Amino acid sequence: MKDDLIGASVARIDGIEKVTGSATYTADMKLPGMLYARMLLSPHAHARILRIDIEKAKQVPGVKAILVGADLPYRIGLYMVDKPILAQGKVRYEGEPVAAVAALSGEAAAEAVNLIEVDYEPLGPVMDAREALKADSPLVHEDLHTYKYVEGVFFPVPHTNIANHFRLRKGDVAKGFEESYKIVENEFYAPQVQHVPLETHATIAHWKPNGRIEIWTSAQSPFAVRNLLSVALGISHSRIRVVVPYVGGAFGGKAGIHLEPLVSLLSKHAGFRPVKLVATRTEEFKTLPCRQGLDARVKTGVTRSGRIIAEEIEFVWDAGAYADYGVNIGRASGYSGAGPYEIENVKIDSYTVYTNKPFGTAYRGFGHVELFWAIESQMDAVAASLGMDPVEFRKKNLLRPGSITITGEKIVEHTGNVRKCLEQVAQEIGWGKEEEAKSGKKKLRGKGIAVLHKAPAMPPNTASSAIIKFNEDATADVIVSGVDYGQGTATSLSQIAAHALRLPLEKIHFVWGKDTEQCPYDWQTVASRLTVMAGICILRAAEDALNQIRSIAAQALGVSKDDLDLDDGKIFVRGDRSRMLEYKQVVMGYMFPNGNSIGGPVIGRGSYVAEGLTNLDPETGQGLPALNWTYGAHGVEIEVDVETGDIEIVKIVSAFDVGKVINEDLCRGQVRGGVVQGLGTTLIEQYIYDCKGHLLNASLTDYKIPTAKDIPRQMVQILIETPHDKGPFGARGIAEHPMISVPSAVANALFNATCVRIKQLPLSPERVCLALKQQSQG
Amino acid sequence: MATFKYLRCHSLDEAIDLLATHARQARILAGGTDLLVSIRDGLESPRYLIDIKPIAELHTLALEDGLLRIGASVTVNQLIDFEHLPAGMDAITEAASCLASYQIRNRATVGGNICNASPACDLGPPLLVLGAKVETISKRGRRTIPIEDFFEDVKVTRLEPDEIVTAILIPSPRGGVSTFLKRSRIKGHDLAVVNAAGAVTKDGNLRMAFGAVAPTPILVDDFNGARLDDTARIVDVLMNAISPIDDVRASAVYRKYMVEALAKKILETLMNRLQG
Repeated sequence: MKDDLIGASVARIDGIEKVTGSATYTADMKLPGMLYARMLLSPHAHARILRIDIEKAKQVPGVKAILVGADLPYRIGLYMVDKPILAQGKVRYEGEPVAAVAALSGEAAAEAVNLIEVDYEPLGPVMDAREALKADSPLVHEDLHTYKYVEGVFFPVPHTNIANHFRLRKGDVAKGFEESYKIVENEFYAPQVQHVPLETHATIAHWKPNGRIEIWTSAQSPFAVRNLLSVALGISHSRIRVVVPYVGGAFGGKAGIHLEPLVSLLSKHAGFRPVKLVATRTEEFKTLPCRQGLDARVKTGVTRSGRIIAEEIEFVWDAGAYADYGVNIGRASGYSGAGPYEIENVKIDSYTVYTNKPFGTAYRGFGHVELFWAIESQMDAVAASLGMDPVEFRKKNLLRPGSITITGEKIVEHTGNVRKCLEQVAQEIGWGKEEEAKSGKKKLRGKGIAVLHKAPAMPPNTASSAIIKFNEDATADVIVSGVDYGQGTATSLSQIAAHALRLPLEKIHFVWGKDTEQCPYDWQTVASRLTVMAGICILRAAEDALNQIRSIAAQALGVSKDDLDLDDGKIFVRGDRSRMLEYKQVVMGYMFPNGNSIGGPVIGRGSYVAEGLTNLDPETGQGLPALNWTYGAHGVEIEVDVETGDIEIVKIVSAFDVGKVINEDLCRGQVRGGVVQGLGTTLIEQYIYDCKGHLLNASLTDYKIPTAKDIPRQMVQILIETPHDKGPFGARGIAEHPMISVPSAVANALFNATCVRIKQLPLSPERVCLALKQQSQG
Repeated sequence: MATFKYLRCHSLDEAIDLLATHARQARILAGGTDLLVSIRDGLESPRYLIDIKPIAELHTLALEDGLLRIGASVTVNQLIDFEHLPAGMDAITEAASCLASYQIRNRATVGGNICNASPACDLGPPLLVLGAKVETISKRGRRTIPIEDFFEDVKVTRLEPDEIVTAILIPSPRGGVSTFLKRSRIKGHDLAVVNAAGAVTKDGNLRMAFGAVAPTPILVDDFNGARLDDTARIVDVLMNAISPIDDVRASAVYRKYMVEALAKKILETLMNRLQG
């Protein structure tokens, strides 16, 4: 069989179901006797709840259950257990659910919600993360000191708004600054933004009279939903079943747990009838999580020749009202926070800070889009202050084999090659060649570059598993619990399975719906880890299955296992290809001519737990947090309209050291999608509030994302293959990385074109226009 | 969600009867692309929706004696695809082509766009510079309102509660030229931060109109005799005519800059088109 599946541009296996509309999403589903839920949302960013009266709401015909915070004495969280299911005692952000109703129809539930009376005593909202750090700031969580969290990994500061303080210390930063030829200090800001998945959060839950809970949900990670629900409600894992059908986009916003506990408890209180809740688009903005804001101060000391010898970084993460995920973003950005550079003396403090805004969670890049906005803007500013070429400056400082990272990890050849990413991007974008603006002198041309890295942010014991079971016709069902919510992983994992099982791709059935009752464990579908970790498991499961096939075939053919070759669904005796069995004669057990049978159905099993990772030292952040680093770089050429402030992306080139391309089209598609999403963050996206903490653009009317018309004129992807030592065929993750450093690359191009350095996202036409006017007037 | 009674009309008489009966409790439904969103968001809660789409005569789209007649229920895409549009009306098609998205334009009507009377409505400026008139009917009879008198305030028109728009009438430019430009936050489907139209008659009379810089789309047609290429004087006049505000889409200051930028580009296009 030809060995060409790995790297092939196989069409997505879910394509036909999706384009024909036959793929079933949670929002499409309906169970017999199902009720519909609606939520009452807080109109205040910060207020005490004085009274809730549900009497009138109860009178609405069709209402089966009404819940308020007092009914639900639970708190939920993976890393920081800080979030009630419904607000208890006070509301911490506008849009926080205060009560919920399940009724025979959505209309009845909505009517009942409108009749719930709540008296609030408004409190001063904490709207700025830096203000929240001040000693006299109101507290968002007065009881922080009583919350459970993962101890030794996170460091909340009781009686403050600090949910986590991550510290990293390498070398002697004071000495480094003393020896510096130049010190450059800047502050960069990135606002909160939304994931905007096509399918909003949706959950159906059925709490059964026997105490079992069944959940269908639009989530990234069925086992994380099950685990968090089990822990929060004190119900055994085995009594909870979570099913994830097709998911219409997630981008991190559906990691962990969201509507599932509320809907489960509504079902319990509604006489054990199934209940469905689909978030409205407004709720997606106001109630469900967003991406955290970041205020970053970066101070860099360099030698005369351009070597960075000291860096001091302070990240202040605007977590919003809850910080379950925010604490881990603060940590991940801390241990990776200086970028892919070798720096002797580094001090990083990363604070995750509560405010009275919608809460943040994972979003493609897990803090790295924001931190690289700061770091790669800063690197350009430092190069400019030295009068050095930004590419040359970076090359002088990039990690290379033998370098020690800021957590003490030694870089080796197979870690990946960031230098190659940078060099190839610079070449393809025509770095150093001046381009004339083609559309008249009111437009300025500029080029910018930026590098990036990211490793999966996950606990050191993160695990995956896979099962491969054969069908009667020797097709194979491949079962993992990672969810393909659009990345294309199901297709690339199918390619890995087919290759490993020596079967053509059409003999592989990738089992789609994920069900904790029937699928093997996987921690979460996050962190660009699925191709690597589930891929390893599939390779192991395939090897396990092939071993079983070999054993059975060896007995059947009367030869040693080691004398068998497997190819294209057949088993051959080495050196005598006429002695052959087909998989289908073996995979259900082999029957001799006299009826005697051996073997039995073949089931392959593969497990993997991240190996060699450590927790980080609480004081210095030293240790090994990263299973694998994926490096990358972007080069962008822009045209700026000096009158309107419009930035036109003329060309963007993106290079990633992916280790090994599994599916080229899907890999390029991930890069294109990530770049366009990154341009949304760069050019337009932001949550806008009034002074009382009301979100002013909680709809797609005024929260814009890139459309087909906003896609750059030219996008180039460069895929570099320095094999990784653990990943399947040397592959690394690529899902998040294309979005990272897009904002800084564009800001650097803007500086190149105009000599104006903007330090606040987004680089909206208005912000650019006003900055250029200020420059020309000042 | 508010509840309402849906009333489907097949003739104008039926529609104006219903409207006279329910007056302030009713809203006219054409494409519904603004109205239904307002109802969903709780900004409006009419008790009756009077659907005028079945009324055949409101779908007329024709050139009659040099007058373009756009029936109130003509969709924006139908207008864009109209083959007999007189020369010089580019402003109207340019505006229509960037109004919302293709899917919404399949549904949204020209009449609805002006009756909704958003300060940012994309068809306001082109209709203003082209000297359109709005034809209406009520039980009290028919009348025509010059478009510059039609808009009263933010989301308020001069229509009486019992009055329905039947058509928009645009005179042929007869050798004049026009153009439209829009500034939005993104290139795709978006509302205007500022929109603008300009028209020049064959004998050189300039009319300019702007949206999202005042409570209604505004027309400026007196430039104190400034020549087309006297950009500075024209911009001065415009700056005195507009009164932009800060909102979630843009600041007043940026809107002023954009009026200037759009005005310059429009004047350039108009001069090119006059020569071409």
